[in-house]
Amino acid sequence: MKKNRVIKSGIKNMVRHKMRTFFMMIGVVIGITALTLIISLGKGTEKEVMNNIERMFSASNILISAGGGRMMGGPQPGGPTTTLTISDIEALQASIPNIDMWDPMQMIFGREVKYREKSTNLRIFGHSPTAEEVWNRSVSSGTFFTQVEMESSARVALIGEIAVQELFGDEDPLNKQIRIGTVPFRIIGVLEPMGTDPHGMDRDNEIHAPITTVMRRLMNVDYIMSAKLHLRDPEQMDENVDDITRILRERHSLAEREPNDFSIMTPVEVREMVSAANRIFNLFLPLVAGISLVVGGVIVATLMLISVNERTNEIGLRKAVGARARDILLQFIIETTVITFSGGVIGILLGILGVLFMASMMQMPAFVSWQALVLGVGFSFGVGLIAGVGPARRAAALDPVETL
Amino acid sequence: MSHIETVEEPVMIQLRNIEKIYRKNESMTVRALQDVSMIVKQGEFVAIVGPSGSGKSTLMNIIGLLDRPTRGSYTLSERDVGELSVDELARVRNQQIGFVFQSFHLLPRTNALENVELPLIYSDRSDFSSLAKEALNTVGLENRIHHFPNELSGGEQQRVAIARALVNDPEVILADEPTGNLDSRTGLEIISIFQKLNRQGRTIVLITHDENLAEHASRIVKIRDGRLVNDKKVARPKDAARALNDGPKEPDN
Repeated sequence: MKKNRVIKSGIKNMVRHKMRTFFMMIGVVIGITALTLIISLGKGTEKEVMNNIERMFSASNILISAGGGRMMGGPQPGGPTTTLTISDIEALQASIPNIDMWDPMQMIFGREVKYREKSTNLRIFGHSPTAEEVWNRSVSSGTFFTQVEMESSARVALIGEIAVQELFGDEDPLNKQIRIGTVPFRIIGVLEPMGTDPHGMDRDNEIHAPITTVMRRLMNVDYIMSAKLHLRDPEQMDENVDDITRILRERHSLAEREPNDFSIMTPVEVREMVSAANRIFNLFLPLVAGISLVVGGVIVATLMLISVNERTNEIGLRKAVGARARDILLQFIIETTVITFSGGVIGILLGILGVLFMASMMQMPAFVSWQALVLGVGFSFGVGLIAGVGPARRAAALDPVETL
Repeated sequence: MSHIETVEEPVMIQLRNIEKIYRKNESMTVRALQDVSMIVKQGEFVAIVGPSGSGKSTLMNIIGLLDRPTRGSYTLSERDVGELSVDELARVRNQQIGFVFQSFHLLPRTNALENVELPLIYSDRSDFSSLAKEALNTVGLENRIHHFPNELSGGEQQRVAIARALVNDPEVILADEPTGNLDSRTGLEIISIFQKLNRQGRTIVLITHDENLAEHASRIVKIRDGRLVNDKKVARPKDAARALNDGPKEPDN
């Protein structure tokens, strides 16, 4: 039996029975579209996340956060978050010579920011002037705040590009006055663009001000949320972490059995967290797409089985004119695979369209991963083979005497 | 040229003591065929006649290699088919037997040309299109090759089926009630095609319950209750083509 012939007639069958083909394909199309989208988006964001992480948290950094328990997974203080202070960090630097730079941080999750009649809700970050270096983020126009402004709790602010668009449109925001809550501030710089961070936050839609200003004039607190330390020699990290723990526990008068009221994060932990997040994209979500493929395969197998049952006359006829069992088997497996493969191609095309669409919406680079394409093609083929085998065997076993 | 039986005519089909038994359950068995022996020589036009339940369909299935006898031997064109595997039987069917069925059994949504090409798919030939066109010419359907079954009349559909049966140039044409679903005039057209093919040298085995139809063959074998009860030559077979010309002209439907 000529295989090309069978493939061609499989395609013709597909076109002839449009309704049936549509229903058979649907599960596979959805599954492959989802798979293509998920893997491409996953790999695309993974890249951007890794870039951001490299930029923000190199091998020489330590992050100290107030409150025990992990912080970066979301605000979940396991203990008091009011005990970490600027003088704590000053003490650390005094005792640990390996710390050559540090920057404290405080944050307001959202406060109304107004310019003339426009208003929007923004995150407000408090930093020190060292943030420019420690967090590797400078201004694209204007200037960063200075030590003097920090010491005087000056009401100056840096604003991110997206926030500029929201409040100022095309106007130049420099030297303009805004109100954060009820407090007036002067804009002295526009933050360098940064995109989306590993938590999913848009880092261009926020405001930075001197931490002293934020603590005193906006929040009325004397504690900080976190501090990032830069080490001269990364090899001493473990030792330094021990020292930090000891010193902070002493300063906070913690008894032996009391847990830390702060947490220390090192690049190792950050990478582990990123891998865990990646696991969602690289394993879990594709698994979900895989489930829909399984469902698609079941649909295909079911409809094919029904088709076989309807086509007993045809099968009997083919056998009467000389088809062997294996010819019939091959015919039906090919028919099934032609359908699922076409469904896979459609799914890949839709997935690519979806990636382009989402990339333009989320302002991310459009990235279609070749792994997604290979997997898509492979899976659509595989589903066809597996789903087709059962009905095909049933067809091949039919006795022409009974059907004719 | 008349067919005079001579001993030189090769034997196409030889059945010896064929028996077919079906087990319905532990206690009941059905003897569909008992002790059936017959010879069909090349170039004969044989009609096997019997009422329904007589075993004629079973006999056709056995002759057509769709079923195996429980006992007895079957030699087709000097080859004992009892020893052949299922796959080998399929190949013999493909090369040596052409089937024509009562309900045509054309593939729906497939045009006439592709329907006729069907047996070629399972053969070693590659000149599908030309062979199929030739076969369709033989049955007078050269202008209908791209039509679909639902665009063809009953008679035309059966003619497509005959072309399909011819396309591999088989040695035997097996026709099971080929006119059963057709009106009498169309039935005559079909029978006249068979007669034409027989004059061209094809061996034809026709299974029917219609004695009138059987009289167009040159030999009638009667079967009843699983046994052959009569086997005689037809002195003057009816001529379907002439009956068509003489009879009232009715519109073909």
